[in-house]
Amino acid sequence: MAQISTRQKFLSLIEDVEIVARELFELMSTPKGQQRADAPEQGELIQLLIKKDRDIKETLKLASEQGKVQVVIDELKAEVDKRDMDIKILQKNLKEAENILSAAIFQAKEKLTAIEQANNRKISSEELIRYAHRISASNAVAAPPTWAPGDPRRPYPTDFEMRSGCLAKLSDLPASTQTSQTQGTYTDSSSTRQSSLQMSDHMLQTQSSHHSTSSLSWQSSENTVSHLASGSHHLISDMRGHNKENEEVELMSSDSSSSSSSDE
Amino acid sequence: MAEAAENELNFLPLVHDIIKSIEKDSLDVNQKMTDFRNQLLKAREVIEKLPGTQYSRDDQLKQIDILKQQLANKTELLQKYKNLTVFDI
Repeated sequence: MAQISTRQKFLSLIEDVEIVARELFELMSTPKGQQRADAPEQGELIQLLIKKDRDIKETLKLASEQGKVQVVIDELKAEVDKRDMDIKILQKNLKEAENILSAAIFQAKEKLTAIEQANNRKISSEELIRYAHRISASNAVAAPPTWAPGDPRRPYPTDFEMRSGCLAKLSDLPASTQTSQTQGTYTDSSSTRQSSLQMSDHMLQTQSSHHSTSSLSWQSSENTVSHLASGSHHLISDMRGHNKENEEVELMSSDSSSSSSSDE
Repeated sequence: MAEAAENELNFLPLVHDIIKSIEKDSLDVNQKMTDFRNQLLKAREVIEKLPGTQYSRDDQLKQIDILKQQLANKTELLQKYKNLTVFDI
């Protein structure tokens, strides 16, 4: 059974005082002859009032002590609230750490998979370095920092590299007609450029003279290919029989130039 | 607060005054009765504001025990996590 609170005790005592006092005032204001038969004695009522007053004083002492206890309770509550706040902050931090760690674990797992893949397909470092050197020494990957128009160094892939790339594989069609169509398309698109038919004729002559000497430099073969490509479709079709051999020579020459540059 | 309440809860002097007035058939009895009633009202108001009186003493002691226990548990919990490896976020 829950105990009654001190406040309720106070209210009850005040009510008692009010009732007893009212009874006493009524009794005193009523003449002796008109008083009820069961009316209490004045002395008893006064004693009761004094007793209630004493009870109120005791309850006041209790209330004073309870006030001090309440201060302690309030302090404890404030301390508990502070701990709750700390726990909430800690919980928030832990959640944040969990998110970061889960992201890190995901990335680490991906890296492990990549490492595993790499271990399964080992490539010797020498081969890798040789390849890297080959594609970078000829400026096929990126133009040199000091490159400017007119610079003989090529800021674009070599023909050999183009042929071994994805684009070449996509257009690696068996029929010769399709090859000519591809070249025709390229020619059409390149016809918008500055290259002209006269220039192509001139370069074809140059190319034939180069072939006759059979000492093709890397640069000249590349120029020939590029100018051939920029030439008209008919010219290329005419030269096709001749160019098949040339392509092989060019391929060899560019390959040799690449390997020679890689040896540097 | 308790001292202020002590003044408001001191009814005997007023009761004594009223008794004397009744005995003397004084005219200010009604006024004193009204004052007495007002003091009772004031006393009730003061009691409502007394801190901690909404509980009994035993309830307060139980509350203190519970709060101390909670505080100890939460402090221990925090200490436990603070002693773990620090997360560098």
